[in-house]
Formats: sequence, structure tokens, C-alpha cells
Amino acid sequence: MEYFSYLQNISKTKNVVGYFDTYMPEEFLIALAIHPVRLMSDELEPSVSNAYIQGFCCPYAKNLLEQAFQRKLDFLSGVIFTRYCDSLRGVYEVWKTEKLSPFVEYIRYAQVTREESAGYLAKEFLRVFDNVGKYLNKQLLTDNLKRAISQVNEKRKMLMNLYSMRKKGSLSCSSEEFYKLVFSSTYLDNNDFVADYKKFVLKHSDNKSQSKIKVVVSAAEIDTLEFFKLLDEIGFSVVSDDISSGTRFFKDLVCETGEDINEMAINIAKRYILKPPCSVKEPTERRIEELMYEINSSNAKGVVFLRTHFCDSEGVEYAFIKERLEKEGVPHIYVETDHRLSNKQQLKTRLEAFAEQIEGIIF
Amino acid sequence: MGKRLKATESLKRLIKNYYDEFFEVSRAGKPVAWLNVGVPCEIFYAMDVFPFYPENYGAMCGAQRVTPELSKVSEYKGFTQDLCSYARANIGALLAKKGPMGELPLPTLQVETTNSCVMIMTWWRSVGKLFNIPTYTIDAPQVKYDSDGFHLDYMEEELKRMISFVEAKTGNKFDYDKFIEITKIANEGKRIWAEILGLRAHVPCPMNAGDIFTHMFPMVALRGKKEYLSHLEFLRDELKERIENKDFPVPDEKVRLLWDNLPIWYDLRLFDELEQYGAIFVIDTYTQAWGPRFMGIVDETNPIKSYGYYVGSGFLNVQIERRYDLLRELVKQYKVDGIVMHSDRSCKPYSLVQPELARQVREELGVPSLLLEADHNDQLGYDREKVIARLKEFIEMIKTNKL
Ligand code: SF4
Ligand code: SF4
Repeated sequence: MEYFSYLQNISKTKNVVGYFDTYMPEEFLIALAIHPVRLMSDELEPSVSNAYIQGFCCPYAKNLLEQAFQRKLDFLSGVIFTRYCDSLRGVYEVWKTEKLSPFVEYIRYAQVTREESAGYLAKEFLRVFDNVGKYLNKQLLTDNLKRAISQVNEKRKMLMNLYSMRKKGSLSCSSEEFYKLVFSSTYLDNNDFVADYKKFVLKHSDNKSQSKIKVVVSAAEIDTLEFFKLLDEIGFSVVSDDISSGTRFFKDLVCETGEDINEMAINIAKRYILKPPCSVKEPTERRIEELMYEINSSNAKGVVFLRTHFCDSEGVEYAFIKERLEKEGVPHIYVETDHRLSNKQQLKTRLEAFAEQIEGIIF
Repeated sequence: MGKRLKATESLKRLIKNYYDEFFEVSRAGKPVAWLNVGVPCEIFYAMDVFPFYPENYGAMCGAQRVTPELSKVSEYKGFTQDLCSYARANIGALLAKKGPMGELPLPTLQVETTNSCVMIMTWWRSVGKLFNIPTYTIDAPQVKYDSDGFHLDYMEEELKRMISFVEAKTGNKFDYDKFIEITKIANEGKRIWAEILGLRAHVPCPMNAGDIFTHMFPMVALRGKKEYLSHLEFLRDELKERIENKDFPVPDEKVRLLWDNLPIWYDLRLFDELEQYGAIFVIDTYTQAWGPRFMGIVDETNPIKSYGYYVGSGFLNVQIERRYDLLRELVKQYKVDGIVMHSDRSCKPYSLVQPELARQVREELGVPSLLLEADHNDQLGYDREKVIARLKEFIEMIKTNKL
């Protein structure tokens, strides 16, 4: 997988620190001259991890643990967990106890997305990144943090632009190609991403209309390109999404007016607290509104809601997403799988039936 | 086998009165709040808002074995079948307007805290949305050992925000003097509860696990009420009496066990069943959540902060280091020979650290553990015979090792 070799290479000259969800503020790591990477699942089957965590842990979270046990993540200088879901919380405890990385930090994250929590969260960020700085002998400097904030904002803007082109139909690429670039933004060095982004836009800018069925994918997270490939093969085109490494990753910018580290930390905290929420946060109204916006602005004909087995918060959120989609008359399908698409054949059959169902509807 | 406590009769009366009052207050249109067990009921009693605990009701659904059918109703609405069975049962009961107590009257408001799991938050969110009930979530970011510094300040602010929310939604004022009175009574009860838990360390043990789980109810829902004190005193005195009269559930104890996790509510008899093999569960981790370590004495001179401390440092809000320390302390204090870890597929925060904890207690304390997969509230797939066979085998193994 090119992701692993790329990161191994980077780690020769730079500290690489891994994280697990879209709430970890990359800005601080970049300011500390650390390479942040949102860890991605791979094809490994659970084996060593079976002795450490039960089978009802979400397979995606467990896969990351398996990778660590199988020493595939030895290029990491450390990892940072946040208070996210209960499966990742279990994975965190094992990771820490088994010392699977040189350091393991934990952000005692606010789970309630109220503006009043920003002051608390900013202090917590500063505590954690001060620790990270100590582990790696680095110091957080005002100018560096300022630059990092604008660098990550720029990346978000590029992704926004990319999505808007995709929605307008001015990018002729497969869903798989599109998401390959999108996901790479969570592990590539900024310069490399900018270069790839430019090349991609140049190569795929085109107004040729596609005869595919436009859908939006909604999920906690899905980083498996295989899934997008499957959707392409069936005849879908994923025109936008509601996933944590997609729109929920780049929507909302950090306010760039902060002058000192404390002010900047508060601005960062506000952005992460108020951004479109994952279902592990409270409240989640904005997520449904954003999903509706993505459907309407992309002219999608339906929604594929994908849940990873045992993902509690999505198991609840689906009830409300379903209710809303039904109310708005948006066809949708609920599918469950894992990061390896172990039930690929069954998925395929169901998705094909969904494609037929949508095609039969006259819009 | 299964020697019953006299206090169980008084407990039944307490529960009946509590539910009668709940229905009465609801009917009269007085304020009622649905709380999760991490939210201090003392604050609500001080505000004249009746505190009701859906998790307790969930356990009742479990004990009456109605969870699977209620789950079907929530599944129909779109909630998936692998969610915590408490939530499935509760949501199903509300949607179906039926359950062990018939149709539940809806509350004025709900409050929950994130100090145990994500599930609770999404469960309260669901009920709030489905029935249009104002809901406040007390944010309690998870800590390693306990809440301190700016985390503790945040917990205090969160409780104050919650109080303002309840005032705004009910029109009832927070009465500080009454609150202190209630806190004093609650503190007194906590001291007695600590004594009760402590008495179980006696060899032989005067009370098996089934009883302590049943008797948790006043600690959850009645803290601060006068009748809670008298009941706890009654229970404590009865245990003392048992010790004095050498009247034990298992007089000739062979194996002293610790139970980790929620009980299997639909099979509380399981504990009694093992008495014939000379085994007794002398302690558990679950009731510790209301014990001195995790819900200790509140500082009456700075009560909000102190409650904030206990919410922030709740049993499922701490990390593996503290969970291990607890096991180590309990193993020593209660002279535990083996640990049964109920790997509860409903409850990830409780269960997912168990394999790691089991390894640590084995390697560092030389105490064996058995990981028993089940669900605390949903009996589907529960194979009682198999469970008993595994427990029996574990008990025999311990006996042999003791020789
Ligand atoms: S898919 Fe769900 S359970 Fe799995 S890591 Fe993501 S949020 Fe957690
Ligand atoms: S998951 Fe566990 S802590 Fe959460 S509601 Fe269910 S039983 Fe309680």
C-alpha cells in the first residue's frame, strides 16, 4: 500500500504522529513540525488483537490495533487518541497498556458541542500538545501555529473546491479516483497534497456529463477505496458525502485572527467543537442538515448509509437520518460492513437492487 | 441455597412507593426529570423535580425478560439490534407504550452525562427527539484517574449550567439550604453503603451478589431521602446479625469470587446456583460505582464542585489504570480467589478492557479470571447450562489450585 511506504519514508526525516478521528487538531502537530497522519484501515484480518479485545469492538478500530500489533505502524513516533467512541476508547487502553507506540496521548475531549466548552478544550489542547512537544523535544511557537492554522485552512479550501467541482459535474473521474485524492489529504505532506491536487484538477477538469446514478455516502468513516470502486462498478457516482474523512473533515475554517497561542487555541477549539458533528458528539442536528445540503446541492438521487458493524452511535443516528430522508422523499439504503468489505458479495447484490430501485424512479 | 434477606421485603416497598410516586407526580403534571445514573439525584430532590432513572427501568425489563420483544419495536424504527440492550428496551417500551409498568408517562425534561458511554448520550438524544423532550447533557470528558485542575472547574461549570437549564424548564428554583440538607442525608447513606460493602469482606461472606445488585436501587435513585437511610441501616444491621449468628449463604466457603461488570439481570439466580459448589461472589465492581471510591462523601462546604468531582471521576469515566487498581484493592480486601468477567456485549466501555485487565491480574496478582460473554439485559442467545458449566469448571480449577 503506497500509504505505508510513503509514511515510512517521511519518518526517516520527520516525526510522524498518528491519530484516529477527525477531531484531532492537526494544526498543533504541524506547528510542532510533526507530520500528522490519520491512520487508515488495511486488509489485515484480526489475529493478535483477538487476545486483547473482544469481537464486538468495531472492526475498523480493531484493525488499527491489529496493524500496531503486527508492527506495521512502527514508523510512528506516537499516537493521539481523543474521546471519541467506545470502541476506540477500548483500543486506546490496549494501545497504551501494551506500549504500541513510543508515546500515547489522550485528549479529554468535550463531547458536547457547545461554544461554552471552547475554553476548556483549548486548555486541554495546550496540555496535550505541550506533552507531545516534550516527548519529541519540540516547542509550540506562536508564528508556527499561526502558519499551521492557515495551512490547514488552505487545504480545507482546496477540498471544498474539489467537492464543488465534483458536484457541478466538472470533474470527470471515478468515485474511487476522487476519494483516493480526498483521503490522501489526511496523510500526505502539505506540499505533496497541493501538487497532487493541482495535477488532479488539471487531468480531470471536464464537463462531460456522466450517465451514472448520483449518490451521497453517509457514514462514520470509510477509508476503503474498494467500497468506492464497488459503487463505480455498479453504476453509481458518489458526488458528495457525509463522512468524517470527507465533508466532516474540511467544512468550517479556523478563525485566523488569534494573536497569541491561547487565542489561537480557543479559535481552534471553536472550530472543532462547532464543525459538522460526528454522531459521537452532541447534538447532531447540524449533521443531518449538512447531509441534506449535500444531497440537494449535488442533485444526488439517493443516499448510501454505511455502518461499520457494532458502531453504536451510527446505529442510533441512522434512525433519525432514515426518518429525515423518508420525510424528504430521498431514496436510501442502509448497509453494514467492515473495512475489508468481508460481505462484499452481499453488499453488491443489495446495492445493485438499490440502483435498480433508483433508476426506476422518475425524478 | 439462595437465603433471602429480610431487607428485601423493605426494599420491595421502597421500590413500589418510588414508582407510585413517579406515576402520581407525573399525573399531577409536576416536574419529572429522566436522569442517567451518573447524574446526582440530590440536586433534583433539592429542586422538587422527581428524578427517574430509565436504566433502572431497563434493568426491570431485563429481569422480566421483555427486552427482546421491546427491541423489535426500536429496530422497526431504525435502531440497530447490536445497541446496548438497556437503550433498545427503553426506547422500544416508549414507542410501544408498554413494558413492565405499562405505559410510562413522559418527563418534563431529561438530563444525562457523558461520564459512562457514548450510548447513553445517543439514547437520551433519541428519546429527546422522538418525544420532543428538552434534554441537557452534562459533558464529562474522560479522565485517567480523577477530575482535577481545569477539568474539575469545567465539571463545576457544567453542573451549574445544568441547574440553570432545569430552573428554566421547570420554573423551580434551586434551593441551596435544602440541597445541603439532602446532601447531608445522602452522605450519611453513602457511609452506611460503604459499611455494607465492607461487611461483605467477612469470611464467610454474609451476602451473595444477587442480593447486592437488587439492593443497589436506593443508592441510585433515593439518595437524600429519609427512607433511604432507614432502609440502608436495616440492611447493614441484618448483615451484622448474620455475621454474629454465623448465618451465611455459604457457611463452608471454598471459593470466593469477584464479579466484574453489570449483572445478568434476567438470571440473578445464577449466583445462588453456584453456592452448591461452595462458591460465593463476595464482591463486584459494579456496586463500587456507588461506593466510596467513585461516589464518595460530598464536601458540604463546596458541594457543586464536589458533585462535579464525582461526576467527572465516575466509574466508567476513568481509565484502565484506575480499573486495575480497583481490582487489586478488592482482590486483597475481599480475599478473592478468582474473577468472573462478564464480557457484556452491550457495554463496550465496561467490557473492552477486560482481556487486558484479566492478563494484569493474572500476571501481577496470580488471580485467574474467566471471561464470560453474555448480555446484561437481553436473554437472546443466552445458554444458561453452558454458562453454569463454564463457571463450574472455573470453580473446580480454583479449588484444585488451592489444594
Ligand atoms: S466506525 Fe463507529 S465504532 Fe468504529 S471507530 Fe468509527 S465511530 Fe467508532
Ligand atoms: S453501554 Fe453500558 S454504560 Fe452505557 S448505557 Fe449501556 S450498560 Fe450503561
